[in-house]
Amino acid sequence: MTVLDVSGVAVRLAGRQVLTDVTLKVAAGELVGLIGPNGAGKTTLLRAVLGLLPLAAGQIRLVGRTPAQVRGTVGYVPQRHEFAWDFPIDVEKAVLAGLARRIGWMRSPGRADRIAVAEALERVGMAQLRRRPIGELSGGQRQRVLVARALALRPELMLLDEPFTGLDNPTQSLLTDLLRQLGEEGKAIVITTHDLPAAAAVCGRLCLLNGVVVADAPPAELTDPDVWLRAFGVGGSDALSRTLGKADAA
Amino acid sequence: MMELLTEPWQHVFMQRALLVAVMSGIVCGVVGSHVVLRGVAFIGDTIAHAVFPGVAIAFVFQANLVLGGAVAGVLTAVLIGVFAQNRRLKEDTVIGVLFAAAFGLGIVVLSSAPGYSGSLESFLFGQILGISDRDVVTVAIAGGALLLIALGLRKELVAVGLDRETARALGLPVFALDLALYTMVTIAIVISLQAVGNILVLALLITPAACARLLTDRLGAMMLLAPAIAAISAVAGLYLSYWFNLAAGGLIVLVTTGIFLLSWGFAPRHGLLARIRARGRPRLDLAQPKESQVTARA
Repeated sequence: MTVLDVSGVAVRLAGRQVLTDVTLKVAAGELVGLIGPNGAGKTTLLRAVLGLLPLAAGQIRLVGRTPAQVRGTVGYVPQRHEFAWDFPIDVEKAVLAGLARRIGWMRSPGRADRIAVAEALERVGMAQLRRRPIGELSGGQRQRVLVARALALRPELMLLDEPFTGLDNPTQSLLTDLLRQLGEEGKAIVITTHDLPAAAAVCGRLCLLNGVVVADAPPAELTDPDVWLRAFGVGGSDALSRTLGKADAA
Repeated sequence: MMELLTEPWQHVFMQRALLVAVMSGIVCGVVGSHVVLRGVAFIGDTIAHAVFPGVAIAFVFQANLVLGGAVAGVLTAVLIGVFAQNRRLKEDTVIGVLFAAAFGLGIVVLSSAPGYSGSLESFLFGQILGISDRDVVTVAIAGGALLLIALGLRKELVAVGLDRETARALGLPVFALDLALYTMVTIAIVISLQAVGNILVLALLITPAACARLLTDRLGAMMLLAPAIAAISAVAGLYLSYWFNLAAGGLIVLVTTGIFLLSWGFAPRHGLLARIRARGRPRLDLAQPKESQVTARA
């Protein structure tokens, strides 16, 4: 079943064409890596899927509905620096804040909300740290808090923006294991990243983006150096594809 | 000794002053906590200046001061948005231009009224000893309503403060919540004008919240500590003013500043002393890489 269906999408930001004719389908249980250089429009595409940007052309459907219609049901994990880590709250309350809309105006969180938060923290291995102030967390723990916040919504589709950036190896493998599990449970997952080995290790498909979709295939099939050249616009594509090949073989 | 504490209460003007000071402190503490956590203290400064002409006009025409201040505050916010559309001017420049303009307008309007210098002084520096029963009731009603709204919107304001982009993705009306916060700041400032005046009101809004942030890592505790510190400062300032016959508004602000300095030095975890002590022995969170270093390495 196709969960995310992006077809022929164009986005203009402040008069600049950022995305042109982008088509991307993600089925339930699929993990897709969105790869591209800075400014390729990766985050822009995620924001368009969330319904935060107007489309200049094309359409986006989430199980047949528009982003506006499903607002608040997609699990969004922003880049870590988007979050105010100096806020005086603990891990549990930070995750609970992700349910603010679902809980509703002038209402307190109920039993179901607390259970959803507890389960999400359990899944990311942060249950023991739920009372810790968020300001005292390491980079990896912060990433897990953001993933838990998205998971608490029990979403069908998850969008993760640069989740691997700056994580050490143990944390990275904890995250990749979790993402694989979520995929096996039938969630559709899109990850943007610069980290090719990590993407190749966890994603069943890579979508190379540079304003347009340059290629969209399983990692093992992306061996053509020309494709990488077009996506990243650099000559060092051999190194990139070698990294990818190695990670794939490992 | 007891007499020193009870004596001020025998005067009706001191009873009113103490009531209004405590209520202003509580309201400013709660609203100020949101302002400090958002890192938008300059918004408080801007609004404090912006409400001035509105309050002055309302004063001259003997209309409702809170309403006049609120209209002027919102109008200035809109004007800042409009002028900032010109890309050659940054928003802080526009704010600088407009809040000086608002202040100038307020002074001109006030100067048209009889007893100009007296009323100007009371707006700028507070007139806490000249409060009427009606003022006490107005502050109580407006302040009570404001506290209820702050409590009702707390969950949403926190979600936006933590992460605007995700709040937007969740479907929270981020812009409307911003406006709600600015309106709350406007009302908190207007009802505190009588206690500390237009120039010093910022201290009642920001300083107690800053103290509370240094003293705790829990939002619930911060939301109780900030109003408590503000209310205690207000009462202490009034007592000092009564005993030594010095300006009440200034003393209230100096007491909050004193508490800030103590918090900065001696707060249990974030104070200077605690940080110096912590440097001596290894701590878990020092061993872990800071976010910025991690990003730089990647």
